[in-house]
Amino acid sequence: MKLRGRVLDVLLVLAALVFIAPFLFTLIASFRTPADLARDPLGWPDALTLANYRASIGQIRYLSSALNTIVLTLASCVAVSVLGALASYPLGRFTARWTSVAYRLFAVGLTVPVFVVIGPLYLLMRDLHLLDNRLGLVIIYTALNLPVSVFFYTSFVRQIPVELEEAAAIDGCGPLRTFFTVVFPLLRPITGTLLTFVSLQVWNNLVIPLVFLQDPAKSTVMANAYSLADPHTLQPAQLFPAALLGALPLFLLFLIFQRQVIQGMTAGAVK
Amino acid sequence: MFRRRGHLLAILFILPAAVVYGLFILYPLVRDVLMSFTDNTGGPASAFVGADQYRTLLGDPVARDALWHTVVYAAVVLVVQTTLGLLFATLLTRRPRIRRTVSSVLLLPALMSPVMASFIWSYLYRPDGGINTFLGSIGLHALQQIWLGDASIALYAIAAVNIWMFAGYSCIIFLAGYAGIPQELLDAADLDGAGWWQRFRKVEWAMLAPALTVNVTLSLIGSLGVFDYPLVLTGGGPVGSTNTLALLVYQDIFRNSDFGMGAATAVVLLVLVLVVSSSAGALLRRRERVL
Amino acid sequence: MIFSRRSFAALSALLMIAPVAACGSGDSGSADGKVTLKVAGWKGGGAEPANVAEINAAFAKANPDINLEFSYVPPNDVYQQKLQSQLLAGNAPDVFMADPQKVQAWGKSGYLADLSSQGWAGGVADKLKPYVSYQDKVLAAPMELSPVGVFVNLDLLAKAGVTKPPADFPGMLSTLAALKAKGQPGLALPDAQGFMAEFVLLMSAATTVYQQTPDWDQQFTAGKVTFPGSYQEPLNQLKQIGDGGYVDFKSAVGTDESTTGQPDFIAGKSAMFPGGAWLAAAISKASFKTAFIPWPGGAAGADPSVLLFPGTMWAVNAKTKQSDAAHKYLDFWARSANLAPYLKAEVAISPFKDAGAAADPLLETMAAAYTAGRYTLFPSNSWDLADPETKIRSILQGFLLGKTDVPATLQAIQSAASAGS
Repeated sequence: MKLRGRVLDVLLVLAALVFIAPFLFTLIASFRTPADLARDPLGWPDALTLANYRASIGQIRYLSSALNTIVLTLASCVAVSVLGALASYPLGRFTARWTSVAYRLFAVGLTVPVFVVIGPLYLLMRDLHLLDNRLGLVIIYTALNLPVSVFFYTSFVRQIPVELEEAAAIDGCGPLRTFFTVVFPLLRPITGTLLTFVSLQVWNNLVIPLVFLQDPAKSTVMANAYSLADPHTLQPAQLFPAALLGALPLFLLFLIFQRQVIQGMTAGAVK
Repeated sequence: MFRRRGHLLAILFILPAAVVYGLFILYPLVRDVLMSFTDNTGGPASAFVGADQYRTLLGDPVARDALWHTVVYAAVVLVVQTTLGLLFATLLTRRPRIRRTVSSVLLLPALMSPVMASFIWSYLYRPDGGINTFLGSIGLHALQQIWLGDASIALYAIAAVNIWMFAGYSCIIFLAGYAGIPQELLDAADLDGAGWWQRFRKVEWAMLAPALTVNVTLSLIGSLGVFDYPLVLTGGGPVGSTNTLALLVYQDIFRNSDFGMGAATAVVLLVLVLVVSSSAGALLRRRERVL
Repeated sequence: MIFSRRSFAALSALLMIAPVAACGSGDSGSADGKVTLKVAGWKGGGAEPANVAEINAAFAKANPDINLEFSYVPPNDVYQQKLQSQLLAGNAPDVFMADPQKVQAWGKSGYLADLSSQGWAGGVADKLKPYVSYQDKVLAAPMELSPVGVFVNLDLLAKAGVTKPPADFPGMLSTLAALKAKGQPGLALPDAQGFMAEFVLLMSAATTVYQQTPDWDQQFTAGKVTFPGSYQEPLNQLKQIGDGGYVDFKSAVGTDESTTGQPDFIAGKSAMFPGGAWLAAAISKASFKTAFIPWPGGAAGADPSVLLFPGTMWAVNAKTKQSDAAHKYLDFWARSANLAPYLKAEVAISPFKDAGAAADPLLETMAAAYTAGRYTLFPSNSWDLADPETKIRSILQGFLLGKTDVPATLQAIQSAASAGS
């Protein structure tokens, strides 16, 4: 039994390595010189260099843009989860004709290609003086991700036993307090999953920062990386380090929050 | 709570989300739907053309193919990605020692942006690239393909990139689902002398229903609106075999300056999403309720 | 509780700040009597500095009363998305970059100021006039003509015993045969995005179609000529290259032009690689001797014509309040001495009649053909507009994959192109 387990462990690790081999290829390639890479993309490197990274870090204003992106991502995550959960509470609990209409209206936004709404959205942001403004970006990301948030929270609210809230109400809690002390914590399991999804969306979005921000100093890692890539001559030596640098803070964030996310999921499910 | 306080309280809870979503998404979307009945080319002037755009669209073989490609793509991604995620999670949940490390490693591809991941895969898919070299080196020359140049497999090759990116994510969601299964249930199953497969089918699969719902929904959202992978990898080719609805919208807007047609195509995509998501939602909810 | 109060504050903040957060201003005058001219372009930053900053600095020096604000916007979809939104919103820059397709689309929408009476307008190369105009009004000042041709690795040719690049189609075939016989890499035609086959067709047509019928595009629009009637030879040249075994078309369709074709050429994995002059800067870093030639499409001994791509242009916002400054800016760019650094960076030919031949040594062959009048412009404002172009690329991929033969392919191109014009 023990031996079989060991073998399974080894096989799983091997399978995982094969699975992420393209990622490893990218990682190794990002340390190779452009000439060496072009000569033999799959071969063993002649020598490794940090020059690609040095160039990238300067070009994409890595530190400031990474910080920008982290702030944008966190703000959007807070807004998406709080607004989404608030709305889903009655949507999942309260059945009236208008709530089901409202729910359907939210579902419409699940797969809106961003570029379809950008024209009218731009006019709106101009009128609200939210162009070239990071807050404007948070609002757009929040609006774009609310449908997913509402979709998930609503189905989870339905699974929460009503008795818990009623007990809180009897204790004299107001509706908002009941929501934030009883309901919202119970939604933790799905919040972890949702926020991972929202972070990926916000982090990797290219079009929105490029259109709605003017100043590259306010822009995000991915947008800066993309806007500096030469469209005619996509050089892997330039692209790969940017792609990895762009993903690095996200990976660190995930590692930091992984425990909370998994614990949240577990705690909620056992209820 | 809402039963006692009624509509007003419900409205107050929904209001903040409704304002943000209504103003910044629904309102532009409504303008977009209106635009789909015009011949707008991006300027201030446009003429009302009624349902002309829709008639042209439905009569266009390129658009009909794109609709079909979108459905096939979404189905392939849904089935393969979820199965892979479930497989990894099912194995990993039994191996606590390596669970965390392996699942974090599997998540790595999901953290890259789709555009960047597509560029990387365009290197691997080239005829003398990584995939074919790998197949050759393990003696599977017969499986070597011109992955993105063969109209009969290019769409699946692109779906594979999507699956590669998000199978690890799917696995993590299932792992969380597994973590939520009460130990007593599993012990009871073991006492009944249930085998590995029995335990999975009778207990775990049923208890994974919420995780499955999350996975199916996320996968559908991502794959029905897909345009960035085909845009970078093939530009919709060869011979239009990887055109998707969202890619057509993109091309109408950016290449053809045909905003009216782009809007009409987007509306067709929205209808598709609504139909698929509401039927999938109904199915999944029924499954959850059976428990 | 702390949590709830905080998130509620965040939420209400989110809803209320909108009116408070102000930014930017539409006012472009300033206290010191200077006017501010806002200019945007997709070159002049990022990966393509193109000496725009140098030319702008020279302009600022010559016009101390104008405060020039240049902003770089990333190219392609981002540029389109951003400028389109700004034009619609009425806050677009005073001067912005355009290309033939944008001149048509934005001209139609009334976004562009009429520049017909500007001094430089009379000097625009004759064949280029329609590309900077919409309905007979000049709406943009051209900046360049970019040759599209074949990059040649002379070192590899020498290894096959070929001393100079081919100048006619029989020469092309014998060069390819010599390379193949010596086991050297040959011609690369990666066509995953679909534009390589289109380039080859048009480059060949520059010689085999347009030399005889310079106004072929107009005749096509008038219904006087057809693809099955005129384009046999260009497509046949492609076919002969495939039939001779010089290019594996099936593999070519699965290979990307930009991410694979170009790095491969620089790495010496192909001896000839068709592309635009915009690739020259990257290719010049290669360690071998390079030539850049027009597609050798003519019969034995016939000189080839060069295909030129009308590249970037400056357009003026129809709503600008700074017409004078904008006109000065365009006029400045239109002067040969000022434009020269841009042309040098872009490896391009001047779009104005009075300018001499290009200075860049790589363009020697191209410039000679241009000076001799052997050139054709990319038909991107007549039958090869965006939507037909997408279809034509797809049809050509079908041809490369052996799904359609020459007559059927030409017939399909005929109907795709007619639908567009």
